[in-house]
Amino acid sequence: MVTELLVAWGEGDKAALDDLMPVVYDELRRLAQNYLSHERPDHTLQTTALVHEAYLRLIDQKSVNWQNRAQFFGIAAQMMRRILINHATDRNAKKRQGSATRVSLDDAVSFFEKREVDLMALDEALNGLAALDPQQTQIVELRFFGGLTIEEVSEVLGISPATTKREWDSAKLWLRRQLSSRR
Amino acid sequence: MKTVLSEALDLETGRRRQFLDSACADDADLRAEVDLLLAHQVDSENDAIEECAADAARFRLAQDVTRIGSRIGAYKIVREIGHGGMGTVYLGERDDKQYRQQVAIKLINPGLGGETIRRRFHNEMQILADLNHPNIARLFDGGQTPDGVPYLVMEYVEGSPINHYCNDRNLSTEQRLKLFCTVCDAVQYAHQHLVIHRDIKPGNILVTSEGLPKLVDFGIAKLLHNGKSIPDATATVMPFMTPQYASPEQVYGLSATTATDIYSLGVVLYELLTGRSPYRLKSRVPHELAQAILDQEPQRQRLKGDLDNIVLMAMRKEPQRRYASAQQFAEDIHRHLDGLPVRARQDTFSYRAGKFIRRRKLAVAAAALILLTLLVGIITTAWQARVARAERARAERRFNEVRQLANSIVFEVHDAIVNLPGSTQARALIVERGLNYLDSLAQDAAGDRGLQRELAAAYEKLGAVQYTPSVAHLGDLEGALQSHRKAAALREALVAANPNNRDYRRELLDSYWFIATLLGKQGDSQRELQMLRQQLPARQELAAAEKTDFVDRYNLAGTYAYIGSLSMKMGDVQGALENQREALKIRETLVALDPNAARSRRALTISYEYLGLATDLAGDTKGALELQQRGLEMRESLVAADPLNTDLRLMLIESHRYVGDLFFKLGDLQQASAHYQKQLSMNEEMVAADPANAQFQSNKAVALTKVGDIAARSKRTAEALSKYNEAFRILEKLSTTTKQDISIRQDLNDLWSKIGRLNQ
Repeated sequence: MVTELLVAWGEGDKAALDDLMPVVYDELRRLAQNYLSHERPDHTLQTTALVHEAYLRLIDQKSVNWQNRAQFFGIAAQMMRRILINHATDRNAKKRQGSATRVSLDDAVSFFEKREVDLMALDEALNGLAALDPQQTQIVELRFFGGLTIEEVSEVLGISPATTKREWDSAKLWLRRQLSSRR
Repeated sequence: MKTVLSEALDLETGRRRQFLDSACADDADLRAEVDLLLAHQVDSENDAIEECAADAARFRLAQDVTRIGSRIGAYKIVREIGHGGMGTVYLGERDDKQYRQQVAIKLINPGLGGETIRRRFHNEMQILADLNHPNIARLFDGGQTPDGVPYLVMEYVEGSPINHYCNDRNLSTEQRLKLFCTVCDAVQYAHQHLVIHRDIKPGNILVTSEGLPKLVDFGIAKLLHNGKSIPDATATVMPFMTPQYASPEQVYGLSATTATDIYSLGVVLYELLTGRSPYRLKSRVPHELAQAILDQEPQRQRLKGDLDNIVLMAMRKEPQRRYASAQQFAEDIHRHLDGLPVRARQDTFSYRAGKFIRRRKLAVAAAALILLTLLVGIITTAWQARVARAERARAERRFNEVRQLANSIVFEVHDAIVNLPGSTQARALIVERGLNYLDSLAQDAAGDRGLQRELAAAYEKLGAVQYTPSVAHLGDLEGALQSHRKAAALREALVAANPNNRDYRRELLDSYWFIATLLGKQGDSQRELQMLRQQLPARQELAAAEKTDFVDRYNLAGTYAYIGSLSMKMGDVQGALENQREALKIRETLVALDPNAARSRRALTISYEYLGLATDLAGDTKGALELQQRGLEMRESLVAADPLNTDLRLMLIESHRYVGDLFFKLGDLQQASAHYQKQLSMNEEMVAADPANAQFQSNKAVALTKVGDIAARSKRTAEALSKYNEAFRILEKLSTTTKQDISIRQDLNDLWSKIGRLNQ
């Protein structure tokens, strides 16, 4: 069903997106929870891997073209960002209450923390960037939350790798400026 | 600016200035902005953002199916065997023409940190590679792929998990025990080499078709955990492990010891012997499982001889009370097989009883209350015995004592434990028992009206325990209906015998009211409505004769209002308008009679609200707005007079929302926005005061969505997104902490659509 919705959306059926998003979101969240509750101790949780797995699970790859694939990664990365931010918000709230509870997605969150990029600040910066340049926001989402390489992003967005690289570089400057102005 | 910036980025640093000088010649602002951005350029070495992205890509690539056919080290990847969060396991093959070797290759999602972790990884791997035991899968090799993904090459074991193996072949208990002892030997060997498995479970104990058990993934848990044996103890409720087999100390986040492996072995044996999990769980929520591991004693299964004791000793909560080694564990099993006395002893009763009472104070309190009701039974029996001996005078005194005690049980004792969590069953038992006694007393004293009235009240109470919306109840809708009907029948008889007693008439109407609400809960709106309409003449009659306190008029208005909102629900807008107008009229009179009565004023605002809703539905938006505004003003004054009243505040918030909606509908975004903002700030206050309240949280999400709607309509995309996102976060959290709630799912999906459309 997801494959059909994806194809329909690709063909311009805007309503298909409304049906598609909850399904993909539920799958991503289910995967995220599943990892925590039933899986192995050596499973650290990676959002990018989840996006990938959701894709493999939900989409019949024979029936979709590269544009569909692109669109899927586009929305999945966006959702993963949301799941991640929710988690970070929760965790911060709990920390403030003095009972830090490690529930899920922690490694993914600390993954950003170790690189000294504050996830919440990043989210805010991205919201700001979205108002100025949606495409650059999408590139950042695809790279951070979808784990796509420059080449893959260019495939996803249907622009040249060189353009992607240039946009990515500008986006980075913008982000870095926003992130540093917060400190 | 974008073009200028990206062109500048393409140029080498030296030529940038020249380019910018000409490109921004007549625009100093642009130049300043671009310079500011360019100042944030860093060299690629220190580029944390770039590294994040690169890491993310590596994480994903570790799971990429396109690796099949490629080579890793000396091995060719043949197919995927399994995958999960830690990475993917492939079947690999070494093909040297002379000999073929099959291996399992684990591609691991890379952890963090540079050389230190890699060095540690290397050291640990050396220790694991030295493990050489026929029942432990070997680790051959490890390293990193060219694209930076760490991997391990291990002995490929073709076998099935030990539990499946035993069940598929229908192994006897003795065969299972012997197989298990071999596993213990392997664990003992590893422990002697200072390696702890940390994740023993059936899936990691594979048995080949020749019946040879092999432990896989020995020590891998630690290797992959960045070498940390203590996964951040302060923050860990449930570390990353297979929860079903995790030991209490792991759940606490303490470091694993050999005793940890003993515990997991115990759980595996328990399941092998009984075919079920040691803990009784209502759900598979990790939190509940964790709680069970910490608190619940494993269920005894009446296994043969000492097996129960053996398994339970391995699974003791306190590590030091388990077997001291895997060898001891195996020895005890051998002793059992040889019919010799075993080391394991049952926990003493007092040890367990002490723990039980400590853990279940509430349950013990409820049990004490049930004992009390049994006591009443004994007294009643005693009373009946005395009647038989015809001791009338004393018997009558007993009669009254029992009656008093039964009433006290049904009303006082019951009411005392209403708010005790988990007391619903006890409450039902208490009321039912008390009711039985009243019933048998009533049969002995058929003409006693007071007793009949008490009996009806007891049935009403029982009905409330069986089903009352918004209070803990048994969920027995049918039973509740029957109880209220019995109360109604008793009250009808009382009214028939005493037509002028107003109290009897009021109580009968109360019963009808309850029956109507329960019919509504059953989904039978037609009969609900009928039951309500039937009450009207009796209520009008009572109200007309009323001289003081106005309670009957108040109730009459309530009945009209109920009929009105039910009509609206059933799509009868005209009926809704008529009945709400009747209610409004009565309530206005009541407020005029006593302007200070907060209760009447509160009721009047509800009439404004509902009549407003019906008016809007009838197509008169302006009329609706006027009514809602009147309600809002009155609610504001009520809140001002009683600022701590949560209920009133919630109503005022609701009014702001309705008024905001109506302004929005009329196109007055400025007014709508003001009311939505007011609604939001009030909700934020409520949440701040009581963060645990799910209703407040969900109200706040609604308010945020409304504010977001205004921003979206006014093309303030970033603001709209940020409000929607915040609402989303709240709802999302609610949907995981509260029970499945369809309306939350609906709200979440709506938000997705809104966010999605803005992102297009």
